[in-house]
Amino acid sequence: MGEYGYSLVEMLVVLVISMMITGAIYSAYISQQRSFTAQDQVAEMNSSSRISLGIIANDLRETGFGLLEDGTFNVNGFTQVLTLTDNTDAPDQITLVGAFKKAATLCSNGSGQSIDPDDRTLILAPPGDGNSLDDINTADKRNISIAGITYGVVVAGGGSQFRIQLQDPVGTPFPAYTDLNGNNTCDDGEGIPVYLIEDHTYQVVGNELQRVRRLNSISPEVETIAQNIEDLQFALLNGNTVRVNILATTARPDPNFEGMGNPPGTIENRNLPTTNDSLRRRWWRMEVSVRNL
Amino acid sequence: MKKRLVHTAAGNAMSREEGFILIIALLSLLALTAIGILAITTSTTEVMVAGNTRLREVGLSAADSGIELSEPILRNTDNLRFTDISETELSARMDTLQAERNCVSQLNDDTENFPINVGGSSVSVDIDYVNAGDPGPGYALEEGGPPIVKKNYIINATSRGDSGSEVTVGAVYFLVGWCD
Repeated sequence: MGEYGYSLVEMLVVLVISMMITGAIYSAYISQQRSFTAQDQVAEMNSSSRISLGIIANDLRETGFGLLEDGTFNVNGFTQVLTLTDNTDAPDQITLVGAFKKAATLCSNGSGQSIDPDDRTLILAPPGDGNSLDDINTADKRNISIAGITYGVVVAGGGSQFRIQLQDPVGTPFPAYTDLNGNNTCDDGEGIPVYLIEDHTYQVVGNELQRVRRLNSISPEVETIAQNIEDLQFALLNGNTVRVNILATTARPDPNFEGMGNPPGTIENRNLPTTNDSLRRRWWRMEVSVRNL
Repeated sequence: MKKRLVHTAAGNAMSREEGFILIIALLSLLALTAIGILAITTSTTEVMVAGNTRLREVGLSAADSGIELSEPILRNTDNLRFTDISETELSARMDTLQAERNCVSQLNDDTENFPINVGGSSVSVDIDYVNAGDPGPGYALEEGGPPIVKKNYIINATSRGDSGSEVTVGAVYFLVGWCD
């Protein structure tokens, strides 16, 4: 009969061994879980801040495009290609002005012919298969650039009206559209590209890196391009090079982590306070040559 | 008799344990495989993201060098040195480019004027003449010569790299000279 059951000693041994195994598995799980949470946040911080750095660098490369002429311009209150608010105790703010976006295709002058230097009336085709010029109006989207060569201010047309009127004559001749697909209509891509000149402002509000389009207009567009950004600093070098600095943190503190994590101490002209908030940090820095500055 | 009993008991116990170990082993294998697949999937995504970033940077640099190269092409076509273009191909392309240098609009002609190789990426550079205008004050030419103009060109350089990656950089250049 004794041969069919377990003895007390056997049971105790089994219990101790299984408790040891369970304990080992539990502690391994907890440490893996902590590591996963921390690494997940690090990965999120790295990718979101890197993407936002790429967005700013792309805009910087295109800054001033379409404003090559020496003439004056006023894009929603900005008269300079690059406006930098350099702060020593807070994140910087920068406004870039340029033809960042293709808004239409130039088809012909008002009478369907090629464009003469004296022409002020132009016929445009909307981008893609669109049926209105969404990016051109006579208010906050009135600054355009034809092929990046001629700057113009729209005083009539835009929206559902493809016939626009400029404040001044275009100044240089442009060919009329070529009917590539043979449908007797001017389509997107069959003529000279027309760009919308916009102001893009980058700023840090709270802990969010924001891009504001048309800052001083009636309907500014505010987009959050990254969260948990602690600092944004710019420096102008050699006249046409801009150095961008982005300091990102993880969303939540990691209790097992001490120190600042890649601590910079100083970014450009800003001294960062020493903290011990258990947040990991990532500092990105990039130099961009602004060719149209 | 006793000996036979022990044999039977041992035999029963052994057969039970064999099945148990097999199941445990299979379950552990399943769990480990799942963890392994998960780890590989995560790292594969990371590798793909890094690879995309690399392709983008390489493509951007290659396309940008195409833009940089088009400046000497526009200034002086005769001084071209391209080892990867055959003589016949070069002269055919030269005719197209010469027409554009002489103020003949080629804007809707998608002929890519120059293919070049930059660090393993093939780059197609398309130079299009747009228009010519008054260069403004500050430019002078000898009396009786052709009228001096500012010629505007749109240049698109497209780099095609590995895995079908494609990066295009566009630029507007102007050249002060005259139309033949």
